[in-house]
Amino acid sequence: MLFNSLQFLIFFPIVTAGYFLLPFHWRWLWLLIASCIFYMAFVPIYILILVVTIVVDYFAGLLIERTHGAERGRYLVTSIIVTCAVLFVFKYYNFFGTNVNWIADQFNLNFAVDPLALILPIGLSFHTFQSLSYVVEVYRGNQKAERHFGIYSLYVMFYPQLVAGPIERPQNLLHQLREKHRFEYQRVADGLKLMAWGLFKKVVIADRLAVVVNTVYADPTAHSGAALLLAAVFFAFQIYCDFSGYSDMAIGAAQVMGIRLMENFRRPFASRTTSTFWTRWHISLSLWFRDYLYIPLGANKYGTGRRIFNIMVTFLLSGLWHGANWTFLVWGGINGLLISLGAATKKTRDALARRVGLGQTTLARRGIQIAITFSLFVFGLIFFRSASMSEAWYIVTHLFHDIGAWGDKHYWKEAFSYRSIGLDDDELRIAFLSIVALEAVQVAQSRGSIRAMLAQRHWALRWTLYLLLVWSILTYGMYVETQPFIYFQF
Amino acid sequence: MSRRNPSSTSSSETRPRADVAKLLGRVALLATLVAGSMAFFFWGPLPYKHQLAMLIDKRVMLDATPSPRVILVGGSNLMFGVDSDVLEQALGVPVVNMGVFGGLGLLAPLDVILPHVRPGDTVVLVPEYEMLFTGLAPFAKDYYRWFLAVDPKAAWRFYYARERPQVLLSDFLMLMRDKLGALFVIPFKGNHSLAGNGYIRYEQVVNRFGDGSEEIRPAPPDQLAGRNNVYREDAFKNAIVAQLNESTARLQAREARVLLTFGVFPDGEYALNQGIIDATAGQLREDGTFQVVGTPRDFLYPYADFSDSVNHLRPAARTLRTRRLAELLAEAGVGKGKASVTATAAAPGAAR
Repeated sequence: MLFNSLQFLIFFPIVTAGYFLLPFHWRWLWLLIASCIFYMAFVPIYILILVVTIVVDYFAGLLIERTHGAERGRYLVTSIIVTCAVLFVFKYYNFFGTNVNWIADQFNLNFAVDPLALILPIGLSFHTFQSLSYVVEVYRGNQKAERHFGIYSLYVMFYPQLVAGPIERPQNLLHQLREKHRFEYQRVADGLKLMAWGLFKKVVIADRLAVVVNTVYADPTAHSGAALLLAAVFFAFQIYCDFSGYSDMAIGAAQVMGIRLMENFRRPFASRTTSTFWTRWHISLSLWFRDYLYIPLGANKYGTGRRIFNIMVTFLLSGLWHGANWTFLVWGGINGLLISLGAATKKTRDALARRVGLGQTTLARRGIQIAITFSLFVFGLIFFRSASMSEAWYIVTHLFHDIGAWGDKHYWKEAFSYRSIGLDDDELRIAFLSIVALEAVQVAQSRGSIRAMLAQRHWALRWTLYLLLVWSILTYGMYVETQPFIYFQF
Repeated sequence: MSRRNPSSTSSSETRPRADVAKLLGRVALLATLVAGSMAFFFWGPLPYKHQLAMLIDKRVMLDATPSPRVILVGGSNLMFGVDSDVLEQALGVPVVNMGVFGGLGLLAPLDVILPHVRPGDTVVLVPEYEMLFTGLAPFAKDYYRWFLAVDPKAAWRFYYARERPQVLLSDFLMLMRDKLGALFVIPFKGNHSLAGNGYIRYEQVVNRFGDGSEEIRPAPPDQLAGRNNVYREDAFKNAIVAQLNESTARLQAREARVLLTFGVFPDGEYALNQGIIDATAGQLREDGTFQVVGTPRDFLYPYADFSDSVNHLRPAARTLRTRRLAELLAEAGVGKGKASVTATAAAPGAAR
């Protein structure tokens, strides 16, 4: 069930109303049933995969808590292996098989791994990581094992964040599922506003930009450099609005019921370095990798070389988490490399900036840093979005190949024509205006909470803005070319 | 030690109820504001950006024209193929050119004009061959929304309730989007009209009869001649006649006279399709409850007389076509009998 579907428009008020109307001790069951219905709206049978993960990690948690010494470690490892095995079979087996077959081919070995005809269960990587998080935290002693099987199941299956996060920690979520949440006007209204803003980002911005991105990436060789460049930049905004829009809706939906989910995006496009960027983008995943991989690997404790190694391993695995394809691996590698290079060259860059008169943190320097960080992110995303390495390479090498024609206005007219990018002039104008609106909101957010700011304004201004938001969603939303959320596939 | 306040429990219990009421009230208020502002946008004097909104302007024009009238109904072969001023002078009765775009088909424009037809009016159907051979319904479902813009009640009755009620809301929202688009255009383009509810540039591109007044850039000479469009021999279906007869009956019930004549066509393309075109004309004449005036050959022109499509004539050819049409209508008894028709063209190219 998509958040931007008619089904959800019916589902959400019914679930929310039921949640508040039911006696407290039945609420967990109500939410669990709702979460099952939500998940089964995609491929019903795949709920069995969730059941396996839930059962294994539930008992693993109990056993880890009850045992001591090496035995605890064995339960932890067993739980991790079983949980990851499910992920491997559904997500990585065919990728692994293809590469093994390729290697066998290179050495003329009579060996082949047959592919499995499996559809990737929606949001598999998300709930797998959330389950892993639970057993590790129990093992570390940061979280008591959950005795109530229903509450634990709800922890894994809580529908707002089930298929695309935020990837929660048991310390943050489990206790909230046991607490009694009252209906409070301000909290519910704030949650609904956040959901509306998320929906705006998804249906007005992301799905509109998706038309251009899908058209260009469907056949990059048929497009000019300018169109490739536009699609690359648009994809950055598309994926941001798609995923942060989803996260806003998830956080908002949970907030309506009184449950606080963690923040997943914090104005990443305002980042001045790539390393800062990754502390603001998909925060719940970045923190997961930091806490469960980067820090256990030794973080930055063992010198520069080891630090770079740790960063690269973390980002390569983060790339692989997104998808079983070399393009994702390269994307992760690029980001790891950028962060490593950033750390290694910081002193040189600061010295250079001082030499050219940008030593202070001036607006100009900030602007340049933000532009560079954003450009590097856009560059990496070319690999993320491309279907294959050869396609990504074609795009990278053709972004500026016709730069000589940039002075010709007909070139731009043709490059951005409906025939080329799939959006007409009006739609393109809306796309740019909506990005401007998004950036304006982000700038305002840098000065504090928008909701708090709005609360201090005259009611007429507030209501005008609410009206405009609803109008924009209704009239400028893309409902015919509805796109599934990008991160659902992960 | 403070005493327990007996009212505190009941107040904490009633607070959620008050909060629910407050939220529902605010949501209802927002919904009312959205619905109200949309209703204002829909019915208010704000123009559309899309040119198909000229259906609205043309309906206003139809209402404003006194009866008895000659109402031309068809596609853009009328909008860019008739000089209604000449026709009006020739027939001596007001002429209303309701032609907009062939893609809208013929049935839907007829449904739009039907409530506005008065006793004594003459409705002249001029379907393009594309309509006769592919169907009289709008060619694309997207076009239905323009009938919603013109006449919501009729659109619901004839299309949405029957075929696609599920898209009524999204079509309505698309219309809202178009109106918002017009608001964006206004600051950038001077030639607009804020007075009506129709097409923002209607007055700039259409004359007082409903004819297209903008000059159309002709297609390259070989483009039209190179079409070599051949219709399948069985392209014309009996259902088309049945649909036309049904519409005719509804028009006749309003005491209007219904005639049908043929659209313009290149003589070269007619030669390729002569069999099916003549057979179609014969069947329409034989089975139609409307009066067929003229033959397909009355409206054949060389490729050079067409502008950007085989339905759009250049100005000189428009006059010739109009004169021939006036002659045929006058022969059929339309108008006040003062038709002064000079053109005698009946055969392809003879009018030159």
